[in-house]
Formats: sequence, structure tokens, C-alpha cells
Amino acid sequence: MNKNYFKWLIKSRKVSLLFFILIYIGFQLIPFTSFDPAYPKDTFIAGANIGCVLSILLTMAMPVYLFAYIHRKSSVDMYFSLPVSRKEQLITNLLLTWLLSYGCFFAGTTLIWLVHARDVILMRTFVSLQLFSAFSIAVLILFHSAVYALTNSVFDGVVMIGAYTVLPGIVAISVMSFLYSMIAGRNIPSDSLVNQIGILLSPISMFFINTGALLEPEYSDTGFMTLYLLPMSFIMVISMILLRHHFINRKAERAEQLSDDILAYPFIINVYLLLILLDLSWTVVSDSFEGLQFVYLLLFFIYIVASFVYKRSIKISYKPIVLFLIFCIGTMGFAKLGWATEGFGLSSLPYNLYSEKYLCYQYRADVKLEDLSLDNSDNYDENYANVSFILTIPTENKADYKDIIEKLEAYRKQSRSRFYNRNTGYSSVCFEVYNKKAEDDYREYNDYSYTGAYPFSEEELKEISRYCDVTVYPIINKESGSLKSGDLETMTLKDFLDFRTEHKEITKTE
Amino acid sequence: MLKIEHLSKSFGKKEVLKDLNLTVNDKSIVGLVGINGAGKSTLLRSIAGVYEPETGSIMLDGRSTYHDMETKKMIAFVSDEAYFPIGSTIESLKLFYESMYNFDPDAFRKYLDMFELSPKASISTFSKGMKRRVSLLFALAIHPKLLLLDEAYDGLEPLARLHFKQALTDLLEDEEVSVVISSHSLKELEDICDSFAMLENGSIMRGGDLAESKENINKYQLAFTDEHTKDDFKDLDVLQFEKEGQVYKLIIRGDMESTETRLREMNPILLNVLPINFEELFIYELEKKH
Repeated sequence: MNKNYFKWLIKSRKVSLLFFILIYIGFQLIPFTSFDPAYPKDTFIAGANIGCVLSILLTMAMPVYLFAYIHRKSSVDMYFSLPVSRKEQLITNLLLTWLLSYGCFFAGTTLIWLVHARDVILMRTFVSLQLFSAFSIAVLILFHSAVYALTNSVFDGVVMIGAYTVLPGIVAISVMSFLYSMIAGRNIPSDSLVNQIGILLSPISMFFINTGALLEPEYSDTGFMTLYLLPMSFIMVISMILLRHHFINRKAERAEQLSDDILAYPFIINVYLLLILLDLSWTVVSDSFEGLQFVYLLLFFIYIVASFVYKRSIKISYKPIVLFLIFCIGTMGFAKLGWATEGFGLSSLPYNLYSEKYLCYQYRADVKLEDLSLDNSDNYDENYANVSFILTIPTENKADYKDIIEKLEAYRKQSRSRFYNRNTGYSSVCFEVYNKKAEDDYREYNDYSYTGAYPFSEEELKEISRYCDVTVYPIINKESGSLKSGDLETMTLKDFLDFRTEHKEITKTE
Repeated sequence: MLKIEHLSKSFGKKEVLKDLNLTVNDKSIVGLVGINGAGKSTLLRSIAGVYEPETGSIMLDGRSTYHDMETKKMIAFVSDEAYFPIGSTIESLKLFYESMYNFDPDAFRKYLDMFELSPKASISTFSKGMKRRVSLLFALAIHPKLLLLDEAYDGLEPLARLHFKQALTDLLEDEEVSVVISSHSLKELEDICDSFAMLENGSIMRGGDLAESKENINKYQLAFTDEHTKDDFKDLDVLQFEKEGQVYKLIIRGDMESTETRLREMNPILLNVLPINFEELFIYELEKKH
């Protein structure tokens, strides 16, 4: 760090820095206004959460503010000819950003903790929060600075920070879409890296999730994830390498040129296009192309506009058009291959039924009233029944449930095969298998969900009703004698069968 | 002493500086001239440590101007595109130069008066010429060992130019300073430079002592009774040959005395030797090259 440069940064920017500090602390202390002595912890949590958001915003804004000079020809001349090495400039700017972003967080949370929350937030939790926040903010500053330095203009820098921040979300959506559309039962365990990929790519998500786990462990699925320190450190190292290349060894003549570094527009535009096209392809292959023509057209338009923004010229060439077509064909081919191989074989991956204390089977189906068979009418003027059950099996008693587990697992196999052989369109049967840590725990683990299976027959439901409540809710949409919509309530399978015998008119079809 | 050896610099595929060599002695003012795109600004930025040399080296008193921060402290670079942060005043910039360089408050006050600048006014309201004066003010106030001026005369009105020339002369008298100055106004350079470097396609086409170079190229007016062609002068280094009736105008490089002796052997009825100025020197050298 260069002391003179640091002093000058502070002195020359004292008004704007003071403005940032006051706004930050002001926002962070808002929860004071709604302080409830009965829930002092809530005030601290609200203050810490506001602090996290503001710190994240500062880690984005400060690099733009402090490093803007590398993007202007005239300022490059001034700053790069200074008797302060690039490395010192970088470290000093980063340090100032960290001091501001974390310093405000520390000041705000410490004040709330000392005044209101010392008794409810343990010292250990408070220190852990400070240490993790200090580390996370450092990672975010390095990451956003590195992304900003990839580009050659202030505008492109801001665009890249936005694009790289949103990218993990787009990856997560694409992965989720793949799991839902292409893999029967979303046959991936909860703790699989595939499920975590969007989070692991996003230092902001990891920061939020772990901060939440520290502040409210009772609402956290996973608790504090020490594992996140690894990808965060990795992102930190990658950012340092990028900053070395794009800041310390930066060619001054890059200022005001096109941001054509491979990791800037060329990467972002094509990766976004590829991910969105993959999303569309999963849907086309697993469902239908219907209604998506416009989306493809819109995507092409956005892709061309993005190319114009990158190249700063409105010149139509064949290259992006050909590339778009190749991507369309490629992603569609990839998705077809995925469908043909039943989700690249992922749907057949072995799974552990007893990973937690409870094994649960959940079933919901809209079926015909007369025999509880598949209702494909898709006609809301007809009467139908909603059948459901949740069978919760304590794993320690699994031997007592051996027969039913075998039957339900066979049904699961049938559901998986039906997933890849079903007709497109309306699916009225949903079958889920998941684990729970406690009977009254609302959180579900290893949630495998199958849609489009054949419904259970009456005989099968009767057998299941020996192990748990099977409920039926008849829905009357059509005039059926004296019965009207809303007259009926949810009933057990046995009650329903008796009721149906008594009211045969509800099963009549015209 | 500034010593540049085998310096090369490319922008993408375009090689802007090619194996360039240049030496600038202490207390010397070098005029850097060349057509647009010859590489003058790139050379100055490279000396100032803005661009890293791709090959070769730039040393000021034996230390790299790119890597050595103490050396950078002794270099003042006035870019052709002066940058002033938004809302900055001379007072606020003073803070910057005080923090980064060996700033001399007395020199600052002296040049502030000389350039008639208001320290509290926002620089964004200044004219181009006034902004140039601000840049020069700070460049002079840090007592540089090497002063780099890119298009330094642009935007300065005659009185300010005069003041600046005076300031440069004072600086050279008092301190061990070298100046490299690029400008398209060769007449202005001629007044203050003692040597020159002519850039062409990224390398020094010609350079050295300005007075010597000017002495070495002369304009000769001749009149003959008989007809002569350019071939009759082929043993001389003729840069330009012009003929109007019996009168011949030749620009010849070479020792004036021996050239005159050689021309007199051809029995001219008239022989006048006229000196050339820097601008003509530049033009003739360039024409000869092409």
C-alpha cells in the first residue's frame, strides 16, 4: 500500500466518502425505529441484513468509482505515469474499498449489538459474523474489481459487473430447468453439487446463505457451510490472477477500446445465449415447441442487439446469425441426446431411501370419480376427485413397511418410465419421495418428484390406506342432483367410497 | 541523461515504435517532430512510464522509467489530453502533486502568478489554453529531472508561450533538467530546442544537434550561362532541385564550404548560400525519405 496515495484518496474524496458512510449507517440503523424489546434479536438481524446488502452494493460501486481512471485515455496518462506502482495503486484502492464496505458494516452491527442485542446474540456468533463478513466482503471487492478491469470502458465495466452477478442465477435456472424437464423425479440428492452449482458460482449467495445460517440457524437447511469458504477462496485467487493481468500488467492503450477480452463480452454474450437456449431446448424436447417461436425470435433479436452494444456499431454480418443457428441446433441436439439417454443416465442413478430419520411418500392426483382412474379430460366443467396421501415411515421401522415400500418403489419405477414415454400436455398425477429429519419438520430432503404417472387404482389405494390416511376431495363442477360445488369436504377413502355408492349421480358423464 | 535503446511498442498488429534509439543529454531541450501517427505521443508515453516497453529499455540516469518509482517521481509528463478530475481546482490538484511528487510551493506560487491562474476556480470552466497552463504549472512546480511535453504549445496564446519559454529557460539555467517536447509548430520549437529527433514510421529518421543539422543543409541559388541538369550535381547530396530559366535552386546536404567550392567549379554567374529553418529541414528530410 502507498501511504501518500491513500491519504490523497481520502482527502480528495472526503465528501463522497462521508456521503457513503452516512447513507450506509443511516440505513443500517433503520431497525432501531421499529425496535421491539420482546424481539431484540430481530433488530440485530434486520440491521445485519441491511448491512450485507449495502456492503454488497458498495463492493460493486466502489471499484467503478475508484478504478474508472483505467478506462479513460486522459486519466490513464495521469495515473499510470504517477510514481506509485500499479500494484500499490491496486492494493490501496482495494484497501480503501474494504475499509469502507466492511468498516460501515462493523460499525453498524456493533452499535446495534451493544445497544440492543448483547444478551440474545452470543459473542461467538457475533465474532463469527464479523470474521465471515470481513472475508466475504474482501472476496466480493476482488471479484467485482477483477470483472470491472476486464473491460475497457466505464459503461462496459458496469455491464460486466451486472452480467457476472446475474450469471450464477441463470446457471441455476438452467440446471433446475434441466432437472425438472429432463430427469424423471429430479433424481439428484439435495446435497448434490449439481443442485448447489448456482450458489457455488455466486459469492453473493454464499455470503447471504452463511450469514443467514449464523443469524438464524433455526431457519437454515444446512447450517453454516464451511464448504463455501473453498469456492470463495478459489474466486478470490482467480480474481487476484485476473487483476494481475488486467490491472497490474494492463496495457494503457486499452482505455476506450472495445471490451474484447475473451472473458468480457465474447464470454458473457455467448454463455448467456447458450444457457437460455439450453433452457428452451429442455422445454422443447420434454414438452413442445408450441408458443416458443416468439421466444426464439426475441432471443435472436436480443443477441444481435448485445453484439451491437459490444462492437459499438450497427453492422449486420453473417457471423452472429450463423453462430446463433449453430447454437440453436447444437443445444437442441444436446437436449435430444439427453432425452434419449433419460437425462444422460442421471434418472437411473441409485438413491438412498433412508438418508434421514423419516422416509416419506406423497401422492396427489386429479382422477375420475367413478373409478379413481386417470382423468385426462382437462375439462373444468366435469366432476372429479383429488386423491392424496402422505405416508411417513420412520426408517428405524422400515422392516414393518417392507411390503408397501416395495410396492411404492415399483410404482416409482413405473413413474420414471412413464415420464419419458408420456404424451405431452396435461399431467394430473404427482408422486413425491423425500426424507425428513423430524416428523413435524417442514423441510424436505432428497425430494424426488414424478409427474405424469398413472394413478393408483382403488385397490392399491385401499392397501395404502392401511398404512396412512388416504384422503379424497370430490370436486363438483356439474349439476349433480342436490350436490353443488363447495358442499363437500375432504374425506377418507373409505368414506368416499361409501359416499359415491350413495350418490351415484356424481359419477354420471354426458 | 535519458537513454532509449531498441525500444519497440505495438498496438495490436501495428508496430508503432520500431527498434528506436535516442539519447537526451542533461540540460538539453529536444524537439520531437514527425508527421501525424509517426509515434511521437507513444514515445512520450513510453518514456513517462504509461506504456511498458515491449522490447528495449528506457533509462533515466541508468534507472528504468517504467519500473522505478523514484525515477518516475522525477518525470513530469504533460499529455496532449490533459485530465482533471470532475470539480477539481488548482488547490485540489496541489494536494495531489504534494502527495505524489517533490512539490515546491515557492515555485508553484511563482508559476501561478506567471500564468495568471486563479487557484480556487473550477478547472472545468477553464479554456483549453488555461487548462494547458495548469498542466504546465504543476509540471514545473515539481522540479522534474525530465520534462515531457506533448503538443505543449497547443492552445497557448503568444504571451503564454513567451512566459512558458521563459520558464523553461530559467529551469535549464538553474537545474539539471532535460526536456523532450513534441509539437507541430516547428518555428516555436526552433526557438527553444538545441537538438531534435525526427520520427518516421516509429523510428528516429534523423536527429542530433539542431544548429549543426541546419548548418549541414543549405539552400543554394545559382545561375549559369549554359544548361545544366540534375545529373550534373549527382556527386552532391541534393535534397531538392528546382530550375526556373537560367536560375537553379538546390537544397544540398553537406559541408557548406566544400559544397560551395564544388559548385564554383561549375562556373556559375551567380551563387548565393541561404540558411534553412527547422521547418524546411523537416520538410526536405521527409521529402528525401519519400
